[in-house]
Amino acid sequence: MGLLLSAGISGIAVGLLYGMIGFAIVMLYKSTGVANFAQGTLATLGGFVCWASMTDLGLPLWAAIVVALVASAVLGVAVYFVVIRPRPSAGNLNITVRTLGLSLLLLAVMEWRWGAGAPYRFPAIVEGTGVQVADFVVPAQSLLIAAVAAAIMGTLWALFRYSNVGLSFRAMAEQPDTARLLGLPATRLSAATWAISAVLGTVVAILLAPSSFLAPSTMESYLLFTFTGIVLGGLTSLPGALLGSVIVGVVSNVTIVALSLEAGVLVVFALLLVVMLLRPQGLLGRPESVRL
Amino acid sequence: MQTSGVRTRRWVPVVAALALLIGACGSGGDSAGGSAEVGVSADTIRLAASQTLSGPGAASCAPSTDAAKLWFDKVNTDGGIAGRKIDFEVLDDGYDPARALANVRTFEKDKFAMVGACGSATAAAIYKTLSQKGIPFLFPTNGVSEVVKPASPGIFQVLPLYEDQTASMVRYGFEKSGKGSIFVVVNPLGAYQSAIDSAKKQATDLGGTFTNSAVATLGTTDYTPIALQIKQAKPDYVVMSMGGSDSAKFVNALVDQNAVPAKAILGTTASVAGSFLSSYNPGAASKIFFGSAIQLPAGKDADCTKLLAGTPAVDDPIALTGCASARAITTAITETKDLTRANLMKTIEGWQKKEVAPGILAELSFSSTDHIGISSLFIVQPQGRAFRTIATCPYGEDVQSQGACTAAA
Amino acid sequence: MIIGDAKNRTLVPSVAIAGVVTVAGLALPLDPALQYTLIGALAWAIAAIGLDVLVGFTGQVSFGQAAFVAIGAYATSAFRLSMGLPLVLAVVLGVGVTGVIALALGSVVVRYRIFGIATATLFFGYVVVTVLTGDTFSTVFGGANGLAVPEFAGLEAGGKGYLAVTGVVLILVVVATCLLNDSQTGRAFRMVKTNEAVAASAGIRVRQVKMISFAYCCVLAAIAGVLYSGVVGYLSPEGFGIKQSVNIFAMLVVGGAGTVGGPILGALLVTILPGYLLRDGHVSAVVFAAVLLVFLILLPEGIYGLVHRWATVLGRTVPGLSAAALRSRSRWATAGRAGPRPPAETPPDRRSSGSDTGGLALEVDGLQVRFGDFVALSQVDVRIESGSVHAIVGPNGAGKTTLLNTVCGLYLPSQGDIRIFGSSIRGVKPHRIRDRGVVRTFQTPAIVPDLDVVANVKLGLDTDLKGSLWTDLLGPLATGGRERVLESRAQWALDAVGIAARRRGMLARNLDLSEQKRVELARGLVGQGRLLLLDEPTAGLSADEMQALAQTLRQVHRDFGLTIMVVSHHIGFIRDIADAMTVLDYGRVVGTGTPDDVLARADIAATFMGVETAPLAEAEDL
Repeated sequence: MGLLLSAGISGIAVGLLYGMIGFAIVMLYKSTGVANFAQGTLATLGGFVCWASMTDLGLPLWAAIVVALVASAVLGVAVYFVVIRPRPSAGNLNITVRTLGLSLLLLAVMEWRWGAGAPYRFPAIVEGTGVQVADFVVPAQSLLIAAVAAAIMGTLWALFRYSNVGLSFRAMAEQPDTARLLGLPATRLSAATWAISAVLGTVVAILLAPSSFLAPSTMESYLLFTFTGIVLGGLTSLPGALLGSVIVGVVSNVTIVALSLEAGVLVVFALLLVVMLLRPQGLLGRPESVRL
Repeated sequence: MQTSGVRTRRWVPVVAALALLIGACGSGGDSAGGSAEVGVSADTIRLAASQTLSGPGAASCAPSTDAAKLWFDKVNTDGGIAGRKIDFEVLDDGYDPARALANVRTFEKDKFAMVGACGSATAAAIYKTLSQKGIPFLFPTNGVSEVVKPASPGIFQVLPLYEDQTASMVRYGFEKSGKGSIFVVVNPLGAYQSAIDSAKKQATDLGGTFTNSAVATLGTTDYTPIALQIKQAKPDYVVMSMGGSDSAKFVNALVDQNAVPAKAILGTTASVAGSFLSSYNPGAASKIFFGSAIQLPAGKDADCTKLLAGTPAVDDPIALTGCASARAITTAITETKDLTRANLMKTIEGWQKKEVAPGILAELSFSSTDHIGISSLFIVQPQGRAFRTIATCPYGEDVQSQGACTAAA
Repeated sequence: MIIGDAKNRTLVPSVAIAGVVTVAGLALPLDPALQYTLIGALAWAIAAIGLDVLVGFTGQVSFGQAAFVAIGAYATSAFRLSMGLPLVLAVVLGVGVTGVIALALGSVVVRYRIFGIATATLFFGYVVVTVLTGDTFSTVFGGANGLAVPEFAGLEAGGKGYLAVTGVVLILVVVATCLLNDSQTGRAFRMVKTNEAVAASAGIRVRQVKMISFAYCCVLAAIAGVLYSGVVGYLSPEGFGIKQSVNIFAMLVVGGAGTVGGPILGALLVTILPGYLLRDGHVSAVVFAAVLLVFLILLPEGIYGLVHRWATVLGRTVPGLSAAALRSRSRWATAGRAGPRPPAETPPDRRSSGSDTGGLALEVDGLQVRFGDFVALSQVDVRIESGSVHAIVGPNGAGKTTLLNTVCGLYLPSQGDIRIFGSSIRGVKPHRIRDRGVVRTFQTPAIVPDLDVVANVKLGLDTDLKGSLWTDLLGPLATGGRERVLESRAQWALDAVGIAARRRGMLARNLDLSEQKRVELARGLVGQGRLLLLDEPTAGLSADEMQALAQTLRQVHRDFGLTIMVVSHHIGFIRDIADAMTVLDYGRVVGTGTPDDVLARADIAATFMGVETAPLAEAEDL
């Protein structure tokens, strides 16, 4: 029992990471209708920018983090203008596949530039032994992750819910054409969304890299479970993405410990199908209204 | 109406152009020269390899063929082998067995022999074809037992199988720190179930116990759940057969969860990689023991050490193994009088306690029924960002009959 | 979701592509490695064609296509190796097993749109690779080390014989797929792709159509898997991962989605370029991703579409070609009309059953519709006499379209009841409501833009003259009779709404707005429609067009005794055709009666101030 409890707690820790990536994806999906399959590689690239700033430019960790965050914001905007914005008439499926193509491109470039010698050991922001909960030792880095996740998610949620900017985002998400007619700067808002989600990705990469190491494909395996968490949570719900991701993390880790790694994958997939079948709108989502 | 009748006509030139394009691609080389043996001419010996050059495995695999290439270049600048230069071509298979097989089809018409590279699955896919066509496959990094047991004509490897290594490491651990309980963790490298089974058999045969095992996909990001299982099971030893960076992640998870076993963490040659050194948590270093095919650090005077000196590869066990294997290949070619594939195989089968890369590789012994060359396994321990050899254990088909390990000087 | 237009009648060019590649491969002395790569490419092309049916024609998505290739390949090999079944039986069972798994997965995922389907299929691909890699089934599937596949009936794996077999299978697949796409089932695919809600209200069983498409896609994947396993001679889970699923998607995008022939070109490029020409792993990966992005952004129509466009330009500039084109066009046009045109006045058989008079066609009782906290309709009561024309009017956002959507089952009421010809529609699916005779048009004409006019009208008969997948795969041989009936009814309906004969072969998108509205009306009339719901049929029309439409409506109303419920802003139009009207404001009924009585009320007149003069704003209403 103690073992399963520990596994559950470790699942929450990893679920928070899925949740943070999920937040970025849901935010983009809500405001632009695009499921961003490049979220993982964008994040990894941010991590590499940070790493290169330390090793190639000799910056201290904090300065490298600042450089990486700024660079990923710029990259996010660039991606929007170069890859996403041209030919919006091609439809959401086309644009979704574009993100997949972008992901392949970034991955290939990272393999080329940094592939040899990967994975790299990445310095932790905080060192220390952490806290014992049940049989599980929560490493100091995981505590930091939880704190950062809470802060970021709280801020974004409040932003979406209560501020004018958030209102504009929501208007754009619900009725893009009408929002444009109302004079909302749709282009600027979309570019900003891409910037925020790229920055969020980089934050995750920097928090994750000390334990999973930095390699071009580091985030790939996270993406699948993140998407699953989002679907469980209800596609368009930010708290739902968090809840879904934590559920995925806990279910997967408990199953791995109780049965096997293989069973962990199968059980999470079964969970996904069951939720899709019984509660198509997800745990916290609203039923999709038809648009004609 | 945009009718398809229109399109029919217009498609004719397009389709014809397509046919020409395919024809143009296809009209490439058809000749092989008039030598007695495929891939050998008066001035060239053609060798090839199918290697994982793209995808997640590329970073750890590529250095072996890169180092081999460096060695062949050195041989060529020194005048080649009996006046023949070595031509070495490497194609990418992305660790996909089907692509490896496709590469073999490309090579079979004009290459003399295949140089081994990374990958159990790829080796398992191509060895039958190579063996049937009589093409030597020299020293792949392979863990699938059927590739070399029983010996297939022309297929030779240096490394012992992981299943034999896990048994050897259990024996080493028990010899050093006393018998106890073991927990086995493996990545699917070759036949992993047999790696678990042989460790279990060895432990119980020697009076220890087996607690449990876990299988984790190569590239698993979070080893915490397995660390928690181990923490619960409290084994004396953890035996692992895992890739380099997976080994590091796993060891780090053990350290983070205070789950490092009481006596030792025992690993196979798969863990002996630069990617382990660059990222493991040195907190557990004193309890880590890996089996290694090569001596580390490599002897200062060894050819390959000199060749790789000044590059990062000089500390990379995989690069050193690649260079040493290439040196073994050129040695075999040099020793073969009438250079045919069959004669080359005979030369290698005749090696007994053969020094092919002194200071790096242990002596190799082959026979017509035994195509695994290693006669002793080095035991290495990580120290900071390097491995150090601490013992040499005799290794062979029947681990039980071997004598005790000897500590390194 | 649209990734691009789908093309009609691609049979000839697509078979030409498949045939020429096969014949060229057989005739030319290919380098063995290239020949081997070519056979692999043809096998992958089959999987890509399957994906094209799902993506290019039905507008769905799957990121797990490689997993179905794996299932087909592994299942067939396992039946041969573990159970010792003969090749043909093993292939049939292997493909069958894949189809069953596809139906099972499909029954869950078709409920979703892109995000859900993409995630579930992506995850499914991961699960398949995990299971094949794992040790649970390693005795059957070989685990991570893979499985050697025995030769196929003495065919050398990379030989010309094998190439010929692969080529023939590919050509058969191309023929079947083209026939399917041009059939009744294929037209339903296209309508689902254009708009699922509209398709449902036109009587199409949307989920069933999506499942057929998904299963077809996966069965082709399985066939590809069988052929691929034979040429490679070795199966390992590594080759069927997410990466390969993305590769298949790339074949589709690069070749041209919605074309059948395009994916073959895409498969050749995607397979041969990295596998044979670009041998440096890193360069190849970068080039591949860059090419994919360029196609997605700059050339979404793919190679097929590009060549088609060039060919059209070429045809225009080279006189000889265009003369030939004209000749073949007229030949095709006559061939396309199956059988003699029936006289326009021949009504479909059901018309003889008499018109609807007496009783109530529609009863709406205390209806409330909510979206979250927003109440769109509240306490709405409407009664429509059978055989009457009833107008619904009201300012923007009054809930008129919401009322129509609720009547045809697209929205669910939170309170109240709706009865159509006396029976409640509570819990009845939109396509079932269509079966009861409710047909409707939409504010923005909901036609399939890349189908021709006649095909659009035929879609209205999906309920009444259902196709079957099996006959549709066989093409005109099996469906000729049904197609003739569909054709004659569609022509009849187009006559009824006054679409000129010469405009009927055009793609629907090339018609003007008033014609598109008439085509939509024809689609409603052609089937068993008894209650016609018209949403803003007059929006965006000129005064002349409006008058012509009113006349057409009056005529069909008189001829067939239909009940019509019409939403409009144009008071003149309403006075012209309506027997009764209901006025909505802020989701409530504020007046009901004959148009003259209702419009005489001062408060209602005030509601309409300015509306008549601002019809353009209407386009944004929904």
